[in-house]
Amino acid sequence: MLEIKDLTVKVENKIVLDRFNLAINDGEVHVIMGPNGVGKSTLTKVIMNDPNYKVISGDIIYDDESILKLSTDERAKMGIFLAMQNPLEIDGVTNSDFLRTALSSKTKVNVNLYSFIKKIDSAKDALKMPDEMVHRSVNKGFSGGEKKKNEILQMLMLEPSFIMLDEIDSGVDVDALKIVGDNINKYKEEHKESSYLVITHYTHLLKYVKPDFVHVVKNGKIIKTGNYDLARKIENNGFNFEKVVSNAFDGSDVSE
Amino acid sequence: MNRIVIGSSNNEVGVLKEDKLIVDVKKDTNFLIENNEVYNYVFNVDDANLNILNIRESKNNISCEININNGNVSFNSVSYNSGDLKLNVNLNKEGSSILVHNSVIAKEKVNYDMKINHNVKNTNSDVCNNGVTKDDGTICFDVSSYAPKGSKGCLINQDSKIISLNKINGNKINPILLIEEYDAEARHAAFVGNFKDEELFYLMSRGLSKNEAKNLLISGLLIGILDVCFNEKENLKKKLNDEWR
Repeated sequence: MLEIKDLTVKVENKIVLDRFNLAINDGEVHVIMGPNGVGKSTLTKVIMNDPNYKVISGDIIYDDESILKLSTDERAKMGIFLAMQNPLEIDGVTNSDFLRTALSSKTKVNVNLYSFIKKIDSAKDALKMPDEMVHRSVNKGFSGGEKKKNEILQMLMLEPSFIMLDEIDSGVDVDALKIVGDNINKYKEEHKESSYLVITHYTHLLKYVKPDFVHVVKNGKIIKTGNYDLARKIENNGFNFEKVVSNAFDGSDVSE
Repeated sequence: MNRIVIGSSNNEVGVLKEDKLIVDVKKDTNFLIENNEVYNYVFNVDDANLNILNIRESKNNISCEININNGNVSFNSVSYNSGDLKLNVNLNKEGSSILVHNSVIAKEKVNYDMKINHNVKNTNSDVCNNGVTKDDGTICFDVSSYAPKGSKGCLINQDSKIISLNKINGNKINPILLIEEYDAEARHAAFVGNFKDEELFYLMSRGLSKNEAKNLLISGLLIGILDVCFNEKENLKKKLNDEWR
């Protein structure tokens, strides 16, 4: 479904992704781990075409089509979704206005108000969000956990096929994390073709959303690939990569 | 709460003295002022909550004095291609407050002069000016908040934002805080420029085109923040939808 080929990305004259390669098939969950500043969030932003990042070389293929020349909204309309690490607050724009406009833009027809309300009510209830959050300004005055739930609300509403979750587990309490995890699993169950790229520092979310592959990134590259055990070993050992790479594998895990 | 429309056919809510409409408000009231031939107003608020929505599309300058002798007033003004506005507010009794939401679309030069006087202690003011300039438009927001000695416990806030959709320099925000009392809290924020890339990126990452994202942000900036009911907001959105394009 999504293939990243030899991708090199620059920001402010610094190479942040260096000949990066990754292939994510339909229905798969891939996890990227690594300490701060190694290029994890960069990867998601480049896939979404954040204008702050410049692709020097390589390609991103989605559903057999290069998306490098497509704008952010065109990529979103193809079904690519990024739940952001720090969702922005937008004063004056209500969640419902925002999502109704986004849905209308995606489907190219004005979304019927009744079906919209029904859908957003159901998503809001599933995430145990209070009624008024739908009519409040986007993320304005939300707690960290509420912001992350709001990202998942948008995911449930827009029904994307390739979902990037950038540290969706940070700033979320244990109960909220379970709700988020349950909703992602339910969505995954209902959208069997959907695939996921999860950026995280911990295994908290992975206890609910089981990964197929865990990748360790350093200096803008994947240096090791494994399964859920690799994530647990990283959590136990910290991000001491030399130790992780030399000790965490005994040859049984999938490696680069 | 009463809802009274003040228009060309109805100025009976107050007394017309020379060119001024003087309105005494003694119970909770909503005023909608739209396309009126009177351009100068005085509101005297006694033990009441008052919500004003002033929709302006004429070139005439307007002045408004609000004397709050106990009560809470929400003054919402929406102007497009209109003249200047002068607002003078006197907070005269402890516990009184004023909330100003002023939204402007300017295609020509326009000035907004606001003075908020905290004449007694424990009074609040929150002034929020938002504007969008296009064609030959420039905006000047002059906001003065005054807390004299003795006005203990006053809370003062000023927020002003001008989004420039044209390439004309000349937008100005002058936030003036005249604070003589030590025990008062005052702050301000001012922004002149364009929408932030991060805001556009966030909205576009959900499938909105750049134009749709800008329209939504402008609608939120000018209409979304108003302290008026949902229906009024929807009417204003329909009315102004073409004005900022």
